[in-house]
Amino acid sequence: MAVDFSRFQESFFTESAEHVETIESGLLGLEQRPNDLDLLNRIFRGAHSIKGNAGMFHFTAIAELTHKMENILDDLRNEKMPVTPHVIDVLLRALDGLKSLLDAAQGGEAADETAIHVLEGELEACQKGATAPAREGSLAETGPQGSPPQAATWRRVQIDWSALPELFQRGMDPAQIFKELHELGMVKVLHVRTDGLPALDALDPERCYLSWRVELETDAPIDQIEEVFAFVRDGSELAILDCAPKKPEPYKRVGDILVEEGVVTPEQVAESLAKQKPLGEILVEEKKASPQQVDKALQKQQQLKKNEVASIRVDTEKIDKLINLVGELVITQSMITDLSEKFTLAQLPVLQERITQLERNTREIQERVMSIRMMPIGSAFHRFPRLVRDLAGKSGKQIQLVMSGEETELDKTLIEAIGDPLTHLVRNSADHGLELPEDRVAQGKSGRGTIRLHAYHDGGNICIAVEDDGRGLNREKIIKKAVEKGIIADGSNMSDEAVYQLIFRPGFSTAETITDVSGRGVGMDVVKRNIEGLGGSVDIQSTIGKGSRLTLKLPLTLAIIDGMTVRVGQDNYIIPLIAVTESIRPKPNELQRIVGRGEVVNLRGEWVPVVKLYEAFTLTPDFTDPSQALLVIVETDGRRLAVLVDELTGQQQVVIKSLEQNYRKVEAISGATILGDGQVALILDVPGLAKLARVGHIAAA
Amino acid sequence: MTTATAEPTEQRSIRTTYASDDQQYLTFNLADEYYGVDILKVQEIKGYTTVTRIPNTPDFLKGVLNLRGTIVPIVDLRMKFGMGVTEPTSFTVVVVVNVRNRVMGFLVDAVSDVLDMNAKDIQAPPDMGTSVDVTFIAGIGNAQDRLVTLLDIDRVLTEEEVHVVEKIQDVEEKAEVHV
Repeated sequence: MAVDFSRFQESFFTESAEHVETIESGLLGLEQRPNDLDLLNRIFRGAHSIKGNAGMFHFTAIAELTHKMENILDDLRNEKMPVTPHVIDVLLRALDGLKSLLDAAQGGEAADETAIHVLEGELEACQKGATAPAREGSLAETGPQGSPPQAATWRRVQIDWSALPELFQRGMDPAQIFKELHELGMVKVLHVRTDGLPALDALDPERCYLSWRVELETDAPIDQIEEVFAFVRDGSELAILDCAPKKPEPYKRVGDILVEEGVVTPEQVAESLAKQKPLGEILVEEKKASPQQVDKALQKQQQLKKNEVASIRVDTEKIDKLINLVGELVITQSMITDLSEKFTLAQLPVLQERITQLERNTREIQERVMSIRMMPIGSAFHRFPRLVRDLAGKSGKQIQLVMSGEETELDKTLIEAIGDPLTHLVRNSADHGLELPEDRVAQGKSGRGTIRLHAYHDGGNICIAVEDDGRGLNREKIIKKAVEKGIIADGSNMSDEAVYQLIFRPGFSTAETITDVSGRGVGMDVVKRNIEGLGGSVDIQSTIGKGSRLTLKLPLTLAIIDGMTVRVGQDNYIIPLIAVTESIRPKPNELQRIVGRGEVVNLRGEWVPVVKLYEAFTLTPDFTDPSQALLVIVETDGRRLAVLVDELTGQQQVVIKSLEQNYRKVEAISGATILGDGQVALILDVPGLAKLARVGHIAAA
Repeated sequence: MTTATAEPTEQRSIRTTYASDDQQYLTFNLADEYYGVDILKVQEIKGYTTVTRIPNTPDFLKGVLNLRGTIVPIVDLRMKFGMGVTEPTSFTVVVVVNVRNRVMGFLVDAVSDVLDMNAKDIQAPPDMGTSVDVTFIAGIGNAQDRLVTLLDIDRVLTEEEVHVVEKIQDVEEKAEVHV
């Protein structure tokens, strides 16, 4: 039982995360279009589902918080209060609280109740602030009145009512009664008993045969409830059962008690609570841990969290198709087995045909299985409207976020992996890229800056561009800083591209550029490393005063890459095609030996260091002279390397297999693959190779 | 648990675990010596095919092999024990074992048979003797008319790894300083 239960919980968390996303994007949309009732309904439904499900799993805190959010949403829906930025703010903050509650519940941790309580207080205050005057203005207003006050008399009341048969003839409407009951509090259960109902031919439509059981949560005294039934009481059977309070005096936080006693106001409590700091920050301040250590611990925690939920929702249709395909595969396989048992040479065409069929089946299954892991990138984009809104609020900038290509599909693991790097780029754009409104206007630009997120397919890759129309990268400034930091000696004759790539070097970002907004410990170097770790690359384009554009180029999936097979002596290696720019056979006069630093080749005026694979890997090559062999030019970190190999043997898609699973990480090797003949070939890790060959200083010199 | 200080406890545990029942060992030849491994660790025995070498790894790591889609590292046990390179013959086989959830293979000159051995037939490894490092030896078995060196295969295959991993970490740290 317990196991089953936890499985359902798992799906509760998955679903809730989806609802939270819907609500978040909905709220942000609502701010733009306050009158969009459809949108409001969608948000309401999301909140409602979370509440219902949370109740089912006894996550009371979650249910209560959502309930309060729902009250506000309901008021918005009934136009009892207008959609204002303040309301959206409060709701978004409550949503954050909800997220943390969900996280805590999922991790089995205790939630930060104080913070949640403050949020609940805010929600209530927000609702009261807006609805109270309205209530005064129109006393006749009916309908659910949102959150009832949390008094000690709040309890559940059970009402059993069998109406008298002449109810309708007296002009009474049971629905009206229930409406009135609902006004006293909240009708939790409304159960109709139809056992008194006669057969259709004996039924008198003017008589009432029904009886009801109502479970009402209210703080109203019993006589007030009885009053509702005043006009229908005669002849009816009415039993009102006052259930004991669900819980006695609820646990109270210090803040609540102080507020109740009038020592402080809720605002003051909220203010003080806002000053509470995460443990990590305190530790860093007290110099008990370094920021790096804290970051590392946080990352580890994140990782652990990620490990917990690793499920994916797949259309049943997709699975059904897959099962059909597997069925076909089994049939084809048995046909081949059958054939091979009594094979004669005359049947060769039949065999070939069946093998072709097998091939087709396999390919189809491969495609389908891959498609299961494919998800629209939109799910990685979801967090950005909120992020940009917050950033704009904090920095006093006006920022418009334009997203396109959300439907572009890519591997789920990739979507998860690019989340943080993308966030960092968007933060950077908002924080450093865009100027303050007055500066923008002074430059003749519109006061509102734009950040564009654009995803699109480009061949076998997916590109994600983060573009802003801000100040652009300042070449001179970057060079100056890089020289100061000792990263380069002199940048005067570097290409723009190479200069821009400098911002990805570790230790490049300085104290000057770190604000509370972009101080999350993910530097640009980490962004670059993460993306390269996924087999991708980062490209920068920038124009001073016009803005900059960072493009992430990623493979569609992590499991399969396009590779170039190269041979050195007896050994085959795969170079990821994304890293390869060209391959050349140099003339002897284009090669230059630098004493103590190896060899360089002149590639159209640029000196590119040569990495001899046979030296790096201690192999026996056919050729040691580059002018007889081949140089494969690869690009990494914005620098080029010429990899010396004997021969290019082909280009093919390869399935990446892990070496680490059974062995360990090997320097300059990112994995292995199995070639058509069953042999294993190793896949080169280009950045690792650069490191191994220790050519860093050559390129920079 | 790979240090020499853990030895005495290890020996005691051998006696206690093996005391109750007979245990089966897969025996094989390395040069002219007989060795045995706990059969429960053995996943399968596979004919030797050419392996793909991995650059910059110890000599005894022959390379990796494709075992039905899984990449399996292959250790040349002779090299590991300082007995020279295994020259593949028609008897040369790869014994594929499952060690701490990792699949690994080791190259032996030939497999011979499966022995039932009782705990009383197994002695603690001697202080000195063969060309084999004693830490890898779980015990010496006395089966029928011959002696079998029983290997603690977990150690044989993982000690190296701990070593190399440390080395790699060293290199990485240096590299970071360098950059």
